[in-house]
Amino acid sequence: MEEMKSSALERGMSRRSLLKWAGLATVGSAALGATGCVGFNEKTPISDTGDVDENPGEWIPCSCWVDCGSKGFNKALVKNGEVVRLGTDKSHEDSPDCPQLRGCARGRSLRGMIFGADRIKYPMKRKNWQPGGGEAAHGELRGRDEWERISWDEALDLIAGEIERILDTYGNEGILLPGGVPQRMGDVEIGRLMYIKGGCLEQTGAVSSGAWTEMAKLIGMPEEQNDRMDMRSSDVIVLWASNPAWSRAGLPNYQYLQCRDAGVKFICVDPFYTPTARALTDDYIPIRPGTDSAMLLGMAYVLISQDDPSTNPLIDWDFLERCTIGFDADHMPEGADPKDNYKDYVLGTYDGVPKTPEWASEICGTPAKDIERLAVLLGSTERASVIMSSAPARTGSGAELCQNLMTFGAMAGLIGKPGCCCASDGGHAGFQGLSYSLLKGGQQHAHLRRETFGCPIEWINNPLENRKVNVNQMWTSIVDDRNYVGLDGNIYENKVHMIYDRQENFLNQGPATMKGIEAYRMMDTVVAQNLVMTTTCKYADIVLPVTSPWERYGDVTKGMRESLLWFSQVVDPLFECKSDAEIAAELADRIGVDRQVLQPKTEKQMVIDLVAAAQVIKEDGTDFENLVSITEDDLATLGVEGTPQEGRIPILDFKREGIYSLERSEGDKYTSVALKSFRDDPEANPRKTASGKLEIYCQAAVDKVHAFGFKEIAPSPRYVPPVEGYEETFSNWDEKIKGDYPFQIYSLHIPRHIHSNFANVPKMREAFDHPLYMNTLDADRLGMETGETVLITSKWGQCLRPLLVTETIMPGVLAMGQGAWVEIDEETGIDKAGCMNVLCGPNVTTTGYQAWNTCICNVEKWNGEPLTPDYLWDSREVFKED
Amino acid sequence: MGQQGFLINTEDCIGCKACELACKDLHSFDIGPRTRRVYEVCGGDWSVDDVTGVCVPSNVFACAVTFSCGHCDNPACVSVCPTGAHAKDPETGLVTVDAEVCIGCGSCVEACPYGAPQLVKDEGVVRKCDLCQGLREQGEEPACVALCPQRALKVGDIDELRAAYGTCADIQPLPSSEYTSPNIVVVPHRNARMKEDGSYRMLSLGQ
Repeated sequence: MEEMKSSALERGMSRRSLLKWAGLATVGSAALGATGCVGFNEKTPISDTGDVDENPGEWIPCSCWVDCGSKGFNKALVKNGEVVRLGTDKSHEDSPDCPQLRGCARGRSLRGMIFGADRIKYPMKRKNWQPGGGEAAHGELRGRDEWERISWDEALDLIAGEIERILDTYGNEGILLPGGVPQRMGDVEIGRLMYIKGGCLEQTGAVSSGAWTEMAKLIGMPEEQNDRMDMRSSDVIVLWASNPAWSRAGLPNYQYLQCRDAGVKFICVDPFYTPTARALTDDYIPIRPGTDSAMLLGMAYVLISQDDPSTNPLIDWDFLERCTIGFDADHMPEGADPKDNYKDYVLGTYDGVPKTPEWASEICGTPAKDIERLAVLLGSTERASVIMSSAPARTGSGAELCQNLMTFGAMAGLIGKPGCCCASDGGHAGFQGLSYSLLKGGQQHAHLRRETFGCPIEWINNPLENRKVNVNQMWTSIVDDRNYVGLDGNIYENKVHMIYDRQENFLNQGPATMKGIEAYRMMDTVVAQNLVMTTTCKYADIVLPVTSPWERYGDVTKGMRESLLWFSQVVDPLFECKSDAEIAAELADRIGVDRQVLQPKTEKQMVIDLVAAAQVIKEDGTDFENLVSITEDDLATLGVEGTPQEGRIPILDFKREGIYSLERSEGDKYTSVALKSFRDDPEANPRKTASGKLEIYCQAAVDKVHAFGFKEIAPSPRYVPPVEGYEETFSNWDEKIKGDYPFQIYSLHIPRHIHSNFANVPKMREAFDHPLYMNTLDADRLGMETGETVLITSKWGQCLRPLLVTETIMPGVLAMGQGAWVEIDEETGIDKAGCMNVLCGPNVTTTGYQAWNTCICNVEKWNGEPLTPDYLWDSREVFKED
Repeated sequence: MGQQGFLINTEDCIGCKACELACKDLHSFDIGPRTRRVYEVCGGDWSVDDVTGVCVPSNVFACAVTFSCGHCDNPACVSVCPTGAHAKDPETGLVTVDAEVCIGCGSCVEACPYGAPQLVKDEGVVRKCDLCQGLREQGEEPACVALCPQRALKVGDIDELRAAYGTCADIQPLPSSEYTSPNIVVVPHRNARMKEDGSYRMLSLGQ
């Protein structure tokens, strides 16, 4: 459409120069609603040569919307129509108690994603695809066909026509919208459109939190850790599979430094000597992926066998008695088999296998003396914490891990006391602000969610909610057989003939990418909309260019527990990009959905409504009050409807500054200790479990897992060797003879990208390696060296990677970053990019979560062409500009 | 203002490279020039029990060192520059390159043991850290320092930094400070000094 032509072109800039870092400022300063204020206490900007520039430019708070689980504050300096550099939080002086919310390497590389050469510029269609399904679709050419530029009208007409045709032919379940757990950019608009139209097939299956998503509710253990100020009072913090240096950039690591400097002793339990550990500790305890439950049981054996309440108190009997059920035969719920109790399982009373440190050691690879040492330390230390990432709950036996972690924590007295916590960190939730934040409001990933505080529109649900397909069966139920287990536990026929991907990248980021590519090639029609040519776009038929949050009115989000951030539009939409909302509205007109129902409010009105609804905790820590004050003049300036209100800061100040942070100090009223009120008075503050207590024995878990229909689980904590775990690396476990897949491999959140965001940005590829990590002993045995290309083979696919030999990974275990955009060599079927999900399979799990953190593989020398450094690879720039 | 320099606290650094990308962003560099770079090393030993498969680490470590330019007392770049583009400021000690005078011959790139000068091929000139002189004159911190999430990188008067943090200017894998006398203060990582015999390896593909 002509009116979508970028104003950059109207101003005579070449498209090439636009993509060379430039981004045009929004017209005037209307978006600010205030006269051009530099803000942020910044002084006059400086040119590259150090001269004072006459034009100060304008700092605009700019969104970093990707789902890293942390949050930094970024702002863009816009000058002479270009974003010239980025800055970070300077809203206040920096101190350990009130640290600035600084950005990270990725946030500082946002220009590389938004203005990169591979930005999708126009709607386009795959050359050999025709609507109507069948042969004319030439599905086999997906991912290797050529592209044609088409107009918006042609693209939207084609998509609307296919939606109508599929609905008529196969029903609403004929259209699959992958992703949506949790909802991201683009999900609400296209999803809502389809819900109004009668629903669509969506995917289910927990992602980041793994088994915790369901198990936390069932056994009563929240994914919460204590407030950062309280953590400083610990004596010991164990970071178990927790590496915030890579997985939670920014403040979480700095907060741990404050703990270290306050005298906390750190221990890291991990297959990898992590970058986080570098700054905190040399006390490193190795453990094989997926064997965490065995180690926790070995530690429990130590406590049970060595505890003496009078001379060597290691077990918190008081807490077990008051706050848990199922620890031993005397504390079982009614109707339960007393033999199913936890203590007798640990001691081996009935199965004849005492879960000693030596027993665990052979599974975990961890020295038995370290297992014993860790158990005694945690049992005997008054203030001790175990902070576990959710990665171990994303392995084949993740649900059992949840049971084991909670139970050990309860025994060792790590729950509900100051300086103590024992938790899956829920993405370092205490730092991240998702649980009991000190501010209410804001979106997640620049997007509304059902539970968004002050959600400005009425939520519409998918009428086909119960039929959701589990992610582990999403592709197999298309490729291998047409049946799957729905969210309600019933068996359904998979009728999908069309996939619509809305800024997700699940073909790349869900398990079994190779199966996914097969499934994609069986479709009649595949649509994808995105900023850049992700894997889902590469394998699509119609691709739509979408604006980034920098090209939209704005978004609001929390930053840790203590900040609320409001990002504003930085540049006009690039090229022919439209927002997800605009695309949904255009499609609504074409398929007979009422725009007013779809979008009852404008984007700007929704953002202002969210800001108006935001609340901040009062100074006495008891209640909340409005964050912003609003006057009639403010509403007029902003050009929105609303009601004036009192609040802590003027709304226009917040918009200009982009960040509000609470002032913190040790001993303030804002601290919190997870489960403290429950521990203090479990009757008055029961957990939402069947018994109101933490359920070491949990019948609800048995029933719920059974209802999911994939696998079964025991009511009490057990060690169950995970599918594709350590045990399966052997063809003969008793004689320790290795099989065809002798290595364990697990995925890392490497700093190069967050999931698959930034994976296309060349300077991130240049700065951060994406190798296969291998221990020196394994490399010596195999005659392999750093830098050589190796071939990794799993049951599900093959990848090439350069090898990085290091002592920082334990022997027998390999590791690779997750998130790289798959690059299949069509001749060999081998992925050259190192996409972890090429190696990980569609293994079903107890509660339907994704278990793609680890699998088993072989690794061999590669005799073909060695890989070149991937920062030199061609970008996926479909239409080269002059 | 006397000689300026960097404090590099490798004990607190986690190698996140926020500083490296901040430097890239300030210069609007894409791939190629790396006017600040984070180096990572690792080492240690393992043994594996043949029967039980139990793995025992000993002294496993890793650490990271960020470096842009030492603004050295004896800057190699200045002494080899054929055009006089490189100069050391007599007051602040900053070593800068004048892009108007630079011919992009690369002599400095070869000469500097730290790899501080970076040839920018698009422009045909060398660029390097100037300690964000312009930003500092306006009261801002250098881009790398302002972003460091661990607060492990600082800038200031080198005499003051040395008084507060000591005089160490050597750490693996940086070259010995004796060649050019860089104005840096290194807070050495507890494990870095242990490996002064060189028994470490680069934790990098060298990309």
